[in-house]
Amino acid sequence: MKLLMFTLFLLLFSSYAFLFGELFTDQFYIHKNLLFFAEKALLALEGNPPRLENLGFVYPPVGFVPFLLLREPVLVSAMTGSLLSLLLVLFFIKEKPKHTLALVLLLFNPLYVFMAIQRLEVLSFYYLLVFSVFFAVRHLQTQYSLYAFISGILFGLTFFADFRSLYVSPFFALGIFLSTTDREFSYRFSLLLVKLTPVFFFFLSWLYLNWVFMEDPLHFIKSPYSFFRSEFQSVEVASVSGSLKSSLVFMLDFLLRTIPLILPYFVVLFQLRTFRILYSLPLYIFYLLPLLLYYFSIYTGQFFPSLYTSVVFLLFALIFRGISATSGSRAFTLSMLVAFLSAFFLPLQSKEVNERFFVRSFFGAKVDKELSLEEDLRVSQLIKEYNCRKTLADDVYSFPVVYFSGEPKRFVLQYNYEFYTYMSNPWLYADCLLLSIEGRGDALALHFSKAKHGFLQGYYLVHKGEKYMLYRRVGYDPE
Amino acid sequence: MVSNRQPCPTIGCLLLEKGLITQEQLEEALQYQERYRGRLGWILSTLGYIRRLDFFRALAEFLNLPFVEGVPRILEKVDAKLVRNFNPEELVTYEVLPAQLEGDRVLLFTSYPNSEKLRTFINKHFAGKLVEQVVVTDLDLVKSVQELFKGSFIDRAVNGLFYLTPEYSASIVFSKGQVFLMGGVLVLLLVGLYYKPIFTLTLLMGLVQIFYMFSVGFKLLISVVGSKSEMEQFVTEEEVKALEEKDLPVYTILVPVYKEPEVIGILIESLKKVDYPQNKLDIILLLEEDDTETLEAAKRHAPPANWRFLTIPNSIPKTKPKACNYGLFFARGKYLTIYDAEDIPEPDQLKKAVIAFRKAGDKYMCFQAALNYFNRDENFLTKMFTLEYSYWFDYLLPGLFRLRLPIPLGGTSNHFDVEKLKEIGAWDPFNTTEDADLGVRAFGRGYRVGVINSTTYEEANARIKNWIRQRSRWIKGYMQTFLVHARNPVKLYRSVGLRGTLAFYLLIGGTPFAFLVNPIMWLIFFVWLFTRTQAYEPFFPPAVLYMSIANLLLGNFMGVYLNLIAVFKRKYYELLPYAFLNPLYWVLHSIASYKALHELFTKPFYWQKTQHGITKHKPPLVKT
Repeated sequence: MKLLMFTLFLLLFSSYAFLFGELFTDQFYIHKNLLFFAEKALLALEGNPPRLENLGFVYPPVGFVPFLLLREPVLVSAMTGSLLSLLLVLFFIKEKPKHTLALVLLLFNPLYVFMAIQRLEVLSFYYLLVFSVFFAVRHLQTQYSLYAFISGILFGLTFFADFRSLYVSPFFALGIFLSTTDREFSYRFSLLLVKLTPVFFFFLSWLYLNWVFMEDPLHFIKSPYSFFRSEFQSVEVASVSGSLKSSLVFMLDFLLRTIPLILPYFVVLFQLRTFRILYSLPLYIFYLLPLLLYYFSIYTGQFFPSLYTSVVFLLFALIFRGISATSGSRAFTLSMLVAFLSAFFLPLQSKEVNERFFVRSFFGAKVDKELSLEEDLRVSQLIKEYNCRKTLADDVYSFPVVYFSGEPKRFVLQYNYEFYTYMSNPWLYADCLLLSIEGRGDALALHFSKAKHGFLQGYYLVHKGEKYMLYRRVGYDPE
Repeated sequence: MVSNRQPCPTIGCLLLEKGLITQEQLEEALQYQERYRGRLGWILSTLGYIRRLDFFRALAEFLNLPFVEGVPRILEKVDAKLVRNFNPEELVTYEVLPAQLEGDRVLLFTSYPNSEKLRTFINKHFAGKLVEQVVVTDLDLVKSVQELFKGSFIDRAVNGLFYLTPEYSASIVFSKGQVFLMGGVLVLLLVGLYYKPIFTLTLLMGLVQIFYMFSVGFKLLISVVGSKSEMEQFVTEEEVKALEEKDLPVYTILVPVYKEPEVIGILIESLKKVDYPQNKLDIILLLEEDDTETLEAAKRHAPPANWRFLTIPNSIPKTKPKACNYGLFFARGKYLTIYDAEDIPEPDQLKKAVIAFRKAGDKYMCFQAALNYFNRDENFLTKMFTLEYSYWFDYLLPGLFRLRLPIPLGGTSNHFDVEKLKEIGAWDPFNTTEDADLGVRAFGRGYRVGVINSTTYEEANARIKNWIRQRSRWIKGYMQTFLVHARNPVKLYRSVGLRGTLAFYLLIGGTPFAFLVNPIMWLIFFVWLFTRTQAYEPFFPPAVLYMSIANLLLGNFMGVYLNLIAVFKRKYYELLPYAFLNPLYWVLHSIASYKALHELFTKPFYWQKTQHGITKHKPPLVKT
């Protein structure tokens, strides 16, 4: 068994690593979120000074953690992706439901693969959410406290993967309350506390960490780089957010348009009516968590209509099918097949450029310029070639360059105490200046208004590309 | 006038004829005998139908043997020189006292005449001699042996472990090596503080944080593993039902008491309801010489014949383990357990222990039953205590058991294999948590300690001062145990392995250490919280700072959260909100720890007595 697991892990790891490597070496593509995590982890470990607070305490920390251990995105992605996938396989081996084909169809679903190698933080969140629900249901079935414990901890950890998990807490509570109507109040209340204490404790811890390191407990919300403002705002979503009804209509419309991708979810929703162990209503509440997450994300304007989010529906479908019935279901398997096949075609028209490119790449498409990291790599090389020992940059936009350089001490960034001193008189301190052209909020571009046009006092332009402009100080002699 | 009456063929008939029992009682005893085997007269007396004295007198009459009553009358006939040639424990085991040897004639006092074991004894020591048996009561016999070997018994009860394995005795608090080590560390610390204060304090802080991290991780791991015990019972109800009762061995129960007249009745009543053949129970009440009130209270409750009262001669140290060692000399059982006077064990506990021993194999020396409290709702302290015990016995100990790590035994309800217990030197009378020490020592000697799924309900300490006294004794005992087994770290490592050594350091050493260090850390934290002082910055470089924050947040969270979970197994849901008040409870622990540390230096062997019987809650009735 151990050998089988290890072999499977190696297989998954090498497949993911190969795919990741192909995309990077052939097309210079890595999802920017990964590079963002990697750069922040690099700053935390090798910054000037190296400090954990260089992570920013703005984004949920789950994405950063693997980069603190393994620095290479290819290793992090392959490792995390394969471990998560292996977890699902293990679940199947342990629970023994007869849905092996459905599992295979999920593991090879292009959107799942995309998440496994490029959006590990989102996939981790989905796993945490679905398994926290799974263990909650298991506790209700068996009454074993271990399951309540694991469920509570996993649900708590979802906060560190995606702050929006707080939205679903009330529904978790409702699910627990409704599924235990035959039990005494003290038990129901206890279970509720066990389930929700971790998520609230972790939330308070996050406030505390923000207070300690950023001087403001709400820094992660107020910051201009806040997680809550990070997803690219869709105009459609912006127009319906804030309205309960419009959000609902939008969600239903979106689900309808993507129904082939999430068909198994609805098949299982229908099949759950025969689930005998629990009363169906509370089980539905647990099962509806992905929908609730969608809905509240739309309502609060933190939703982007990307299709890879369909994976959470598939995971819920697979796990709930697994815990509600061990027998095979042709309808379920067929729906998984539909989801699998449609994942090759629907994303081709997706508004989310990363997933669109990823699926297109299966058909031999080339990466869009905006996604290619070729220039980022070249600029990082130039900085080394010009021997820029102190490069002033705004890593809100230029983080890929900082990461690719591998030497964060070559940069003076916002986390450095001396950043604003450098900004006021760069020619006294900075050997080079890196401006982002595409980033409208680049601090340097805003401060040195003529720089975008190629003029910067005391510096001369050495590189101008699609994304960046690199200036070198006049008379700078590294020797 | 000559009587035409036929002599009675059985002792039951004789007792009936004498009017000492009724026909119904006889029939019940016969059924009992059919079910459990054993001597009919003994069954009748352990069921409380006849007095011990009447049984032995009738036995003598039935066997046509002389009967002597009372220790003085026995002792006046005993040749002390002859007796001293024998091992007193052997005499207790064979229920015989050789009184006189003249030529080929030997006079034996016995409480089990004409028995197989008496014949074995005779063949071993007096083969070919003309034996005269005189019947005495078992109690008189034991008391006579006790009187004859008084000095030897008490000496071995106090120093037995030291004679056997001095390196395991806590009678020496600090070994020479430890004194030198502590002195060396202290000197280094002072030198460091003088020459490199920032480095020294940073190092200290870092070490403390590393310890906390390991400690939290260790407890989490153990608890998760331990929680699996809910899913798999080590001894199932089916196994208990299927147990062949005829083959059950004699089981000794030691009850060490001191000035606890108010609770002795609870124990007598609950032990009457234990699901174990009464004739195979050997209950020994261990009393201190000056404790007449408990003795009187016990007599008032008129326990059946399977109870024996043993008075421990006055000597130092006046501790429970010394009393237990003393009682062990007189134990008849194959297995033995200890209950406190206020204990209410679950009725099937002894059977579960027997099954556990049979299932687990020869490696197991002891099985610990869970302890919990019947007065948990009394006040804040009892609630917290119950939460703590629920976690400790339902999660932590089963976790240690499953991971095959040394288990610090609880104070009572630990079930021993008597032979193995004697082999390793029994309890250390100088250790104030002799139970925890014994668990570690057993592990070190190659034996295992297991956990059985049965509970004994006790009285939780309901008063803060009393609680602190009790806790300081426990923590002092942990310190002693740590000092004893850490004397030779290499030997410890060789005997318990790496995992065992780590577990020992984290659990036995780590527990008092954490309680001692906590207040210092709290102080540092609160000063910073309220002043935001930057004075700490030099002592908290990033790595230390991150560890400190992780420990502050995750360590405290885990401490509370594991307690939240602990209520589920026993369905003590009403206690759950109190788990959030654990930090207050930890403050009490720290107070007790400093008291313990003080006593470790000033009066290391002093036994802080816990007062029992102060609860306002009545103990629950034992379900049979």
